[in-house]
Amino acid sequence: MNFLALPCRILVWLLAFALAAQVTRAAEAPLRVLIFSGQNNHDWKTTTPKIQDILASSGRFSVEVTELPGQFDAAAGAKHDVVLSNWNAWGKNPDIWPESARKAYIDFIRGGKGLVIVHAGSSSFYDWEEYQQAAGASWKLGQTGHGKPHGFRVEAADPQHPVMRGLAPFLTTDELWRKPGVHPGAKVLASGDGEPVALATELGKGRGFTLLLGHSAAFMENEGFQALLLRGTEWAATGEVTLGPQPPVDPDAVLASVARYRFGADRESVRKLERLAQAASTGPAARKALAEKLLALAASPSATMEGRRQALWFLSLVAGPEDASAIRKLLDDKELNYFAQNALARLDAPRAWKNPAAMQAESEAAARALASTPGALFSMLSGNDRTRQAAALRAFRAYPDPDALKAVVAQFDQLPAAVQPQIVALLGDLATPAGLPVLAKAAASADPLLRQTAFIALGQAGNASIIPALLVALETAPGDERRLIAESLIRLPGEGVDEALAAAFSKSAPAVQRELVRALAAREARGAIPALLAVAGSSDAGLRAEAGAAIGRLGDIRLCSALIAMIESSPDGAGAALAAICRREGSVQPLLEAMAGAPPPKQALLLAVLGSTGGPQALDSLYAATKSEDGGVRVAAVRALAAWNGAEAFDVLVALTAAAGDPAGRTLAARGVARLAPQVSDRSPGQLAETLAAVLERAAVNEKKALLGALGKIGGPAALKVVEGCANDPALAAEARAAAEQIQGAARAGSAGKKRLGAASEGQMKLFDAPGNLVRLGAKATSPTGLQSDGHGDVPAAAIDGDGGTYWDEVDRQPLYRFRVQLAEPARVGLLRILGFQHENYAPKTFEILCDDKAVKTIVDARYEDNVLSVELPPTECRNVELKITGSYGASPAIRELGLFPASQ
Amino acid sequence: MSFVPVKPHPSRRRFLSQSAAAGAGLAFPAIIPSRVLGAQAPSKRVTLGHIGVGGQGSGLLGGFLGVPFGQSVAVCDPFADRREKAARRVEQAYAEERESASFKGCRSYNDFRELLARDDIDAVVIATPDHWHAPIALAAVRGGKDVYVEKPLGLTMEQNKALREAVHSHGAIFQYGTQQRSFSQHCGFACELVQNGYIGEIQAIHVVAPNGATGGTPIPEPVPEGFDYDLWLGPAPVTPYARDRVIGGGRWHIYDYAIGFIAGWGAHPLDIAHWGYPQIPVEYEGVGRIDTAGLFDTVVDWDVRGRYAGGAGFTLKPGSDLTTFVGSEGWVAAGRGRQTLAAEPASLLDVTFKPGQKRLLQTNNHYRDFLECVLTRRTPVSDIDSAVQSDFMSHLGDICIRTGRKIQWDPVKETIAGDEAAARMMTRALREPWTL
Repeated sequence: MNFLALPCRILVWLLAFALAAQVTRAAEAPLRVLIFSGQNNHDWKTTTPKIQDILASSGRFSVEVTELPGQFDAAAGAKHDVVLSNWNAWGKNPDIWPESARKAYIDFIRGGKGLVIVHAGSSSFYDWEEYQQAAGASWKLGQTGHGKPHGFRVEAADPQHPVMRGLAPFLTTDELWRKPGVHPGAKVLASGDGEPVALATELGKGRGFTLLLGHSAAFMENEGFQALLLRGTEWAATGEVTLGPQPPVDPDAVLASVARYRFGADRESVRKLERLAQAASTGPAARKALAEKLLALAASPSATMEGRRQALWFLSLVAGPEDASAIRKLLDDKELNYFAQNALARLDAPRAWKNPAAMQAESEAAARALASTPGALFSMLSGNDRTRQAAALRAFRAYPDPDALKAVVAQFDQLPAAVQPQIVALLGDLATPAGLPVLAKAAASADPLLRQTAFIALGQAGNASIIPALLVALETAPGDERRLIAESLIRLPGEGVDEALAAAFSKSAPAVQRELVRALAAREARGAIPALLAVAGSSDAGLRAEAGAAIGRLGDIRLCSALIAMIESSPDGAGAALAAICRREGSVQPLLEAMAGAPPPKQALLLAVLGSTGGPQALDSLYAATKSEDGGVRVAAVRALAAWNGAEAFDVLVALTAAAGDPAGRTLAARGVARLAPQVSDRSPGQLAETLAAVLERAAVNEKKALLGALGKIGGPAALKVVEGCANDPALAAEARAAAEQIQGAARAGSAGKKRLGAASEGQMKLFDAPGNLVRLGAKATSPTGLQSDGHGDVPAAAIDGDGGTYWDEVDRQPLYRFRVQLAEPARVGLLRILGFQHENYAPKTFEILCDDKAVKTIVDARYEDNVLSVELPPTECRNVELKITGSYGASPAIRELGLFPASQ
Repeated sequence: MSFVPVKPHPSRRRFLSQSAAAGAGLAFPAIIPSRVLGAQAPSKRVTLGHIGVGGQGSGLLGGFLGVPFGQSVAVCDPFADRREKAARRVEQAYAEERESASFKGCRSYNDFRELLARDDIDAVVIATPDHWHAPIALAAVRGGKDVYVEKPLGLTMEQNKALREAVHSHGAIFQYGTQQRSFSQHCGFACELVQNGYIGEIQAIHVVAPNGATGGTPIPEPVPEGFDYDLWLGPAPVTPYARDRVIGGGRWHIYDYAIGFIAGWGAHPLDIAHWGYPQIPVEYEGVGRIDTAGLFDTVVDWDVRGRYAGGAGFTLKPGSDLTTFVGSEGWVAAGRGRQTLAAEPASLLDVTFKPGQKRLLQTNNHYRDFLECVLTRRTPVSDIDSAVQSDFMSHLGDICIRTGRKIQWDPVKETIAGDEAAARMMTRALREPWTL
């Protein structure tokens, strides 16, 4: 498609004025159009007159309309060149044509005349092959669809076809059919968003033109639509196209119309003038000619002020230097001053702005110059002009000069407080030993920003010598700052840091020791393992665990014997380290070797370690140990199996729930079964439910509750049956009910499928309908936390607007959200209802309900039903209701709709 | 491909790698890692003035009130009731924070020039109608203040350039109101996928944004009591007051004050396009609709197509709010909505980045990021250079629709090449006495 062709063409008409083609055409006899109308599943009462008007006002056609196309016959055909169908038989009582009409219709086309279809004008007679062939395209039930009318671009698919030749792409707003039924013989002339919108057909000697656009009269206002309709109709009637791709524009008529333009009237003429100006702007002669006319209009006292302003506005596109003095004269007119200024400004445009590359080069040169003049740099840094400070800092950072560095370090205290943290950060980045004294001083500052910056900088620029100072700070600093210091310890560069950290253990308080262990682990200081082993035997449990984690991370299989030797004194520390090492190395051999011949208490400790290493060998050993002669060992083995990470232990545990002897073991096994059941994936929910039912039979009350929870997660009819079987047991009723609800909820969610991901269903929205819903009576919603609404989450009003597609929501992961509804009038509120975002996904979960700022109810772990939560409130007379939300499903509590209903009388 | 709920990304705060920074040479290096300003507020508070406290302005005010080291000391609006309400809100918030009965210390102004004249104000938040964004931001920056500026950027491309020059030459901190860089972090994730080559060579970028509005009642009305209409109009031509110009969203759709939603909302997904692929197309052609009835006269529906220098295609169409990057080995799409992240292959959504890969600066609070930058002189997440470029895309789209011609963009000279009338449209006069 040649885009540049369009303005050139307009230009040609502009210059040609006479529009010879139009004149000749007017002399020809008009083409006779017969419009079929009177029945259509569209608004034919408005579209038919519109089509008639478009055709007739072109001067090329004479138009007749029939509302009874079933009466079409050869005589009617003889009086017309082309039939345009805005008629269809899509409806309850279609007017079905008699055989005579059918024959006359086909003969008409076959005999060499034309057919035009507009939009749904062919959605009839699906089993009449010739009709369909002539029509070329129609609505096909079960295949064709459309979205909401929207703006889309129409462009030629066959630019060489007479109808399309020279026609520029255009934007229209219309109903766009997706996948229309296209007859194989039809040729697509134009498409919109990839869908065919205009087609050509042949039948016998006749031609058909089908325009699928034109859903309503309003959409037919589009110029592109009109061009297609006119040219397509002409082509169908004659096989040729003489009408231009754009309606001819007479500049004088447009200017005359703009001269009468008043503010508030339709801007059709202004828009036409804009196009004229744009088209003229590309050619010197046309530009001059239009500029002259526009200047005359701008200065014309008989034109409206608004028209003169518009003339000046578009003059700004076509004016040349020769027009400047005339424009300047208009500056004195207060009403025109701005528009004259604009035309003059644009005459000068484009002004020279520095481009980013030039600006960058300039600023680099300046920075380099500044950086090499320490005196100037220091004086800029110590002044109070923030812009100059920023420039100096930037220069210093980009081109650090040793003399400037010396000056800054020596006179750091004299620098303004606002600059000091930035110097400290810079010294950190430079990592020069010269800066260390300043950093140490800043780390002891009373200003938290300076202090904190210094801690970070020390992590980049420090060395082992500053460890004692950091450790002192670590002991006394507030929580947030401790984290910064600890991170600095981890990053500290230089020789001997690991050793110095390890050596500092004995002299440090327990809290500091923990940080030291963490730092050594993060630094991967393997040399510190002996020191860490000593800490793993500490009497402080927290420290033991920390050291165990560190050793687990740094150690390898060679450490196992040392750790096994420690396991009795440090089951948490050494045990965790052992588990981590064996898991990582994929070997439990050292543990199994140690088990053999160990006394039962030690065996029990090793079994606990085996429980978290994973692997078939460990699982086998644990199972074997459940048959041990020692009761303590047996229970330890079951405990480890129950804590096993993975469904492999499930069957063993099921068996153990029935094992004779150890009641403690049976209890542990049942808990393990409940924990692992939802992870089992190698059998059906039905089989699983059956297994759990058997375990449930022999379990104690607490374990029964856990098993009901597992059944709720597994779901399915079999699980539901088991759960319902427990509903009558008073000790289990609550858990049974919760599980049943969960199973039913999941079933509903499954059947609702994708729909739930979108907006609300009709059924859901019914629950929020007026009458009754108090929020519909002029209530106002706010969220006083002032958080940012998130994504498409809109203003709070979105939650009370009756539109389930919109929702209120705020930024994710906040500790507190407040949502408040102010009623127009006080009311006795008895029920609150919420439609969340998705079922228990992004919805309020835990919240307090306040009426007039008094708490009336607290909801914990709200259970939604099909994404709807209904909460009965103690009847309360109030003016406002607030949700104080502290927990949500998903990362934030979105509310699609909120309803408040009066308490029943 | 259906959209999947976004996974939260564990790393909420990422640091800019030099290689990933658009125009890295211009950006200030990260001076102080921003985690310095943790739960504990630094001793220094940034003093703020809020210019424009209508709908979006009050939202921003709430956002800034939530940042502990900001202190709002002034509000400004030509609507007397809006500015008084905002001042009361600020004082009430600080009174509550201090647990005292009242707090005084937020002054209200009709004229922003009086607010800017105060030298005890560090930074201003500009949430005015679009035609005021650049003139006020320029005045603020030239007065040594830092600026948070709502999108879209300038009423003209020339205004963008002027503002960028001032921000750089004054070393000012500039944060653009494209807050999805902070609040919709999956957008940043999508851009990181693109920049790290996960979808291969970029072949096309498709951007959709909600279309504009038509209508607006043009019937003149008396200017309401307590509203300084002349100041509101400022650099725009004088026209009779009508409610729909000023109240509600009308000002977003009137060409005297804006170029329409192609910029007003287009700013968001275009910003993401530029974040992921930091350049703009060099060729534009498009069609669009401009209504002739009512007050609103900006481009409503549009279909803009373009081409990047490297050959990749570009489209800008009406729709929800989505940026789709199509590469030789897959695609990724992200938008502001929480569910709008999708990719092909879907496994891209599970990517975790390794050390050494390009990362983009991400924050989780746009306002806090700005205030941190004011304190530390770091470059904010939505910087001036990218703001200028993404807003250029909107303007070039508007210009190619209005001219009806294919437009060539020279990214080095930053001008429309070979089409003088189109190049003139990069400029507009400001009504006296206002200047750029």
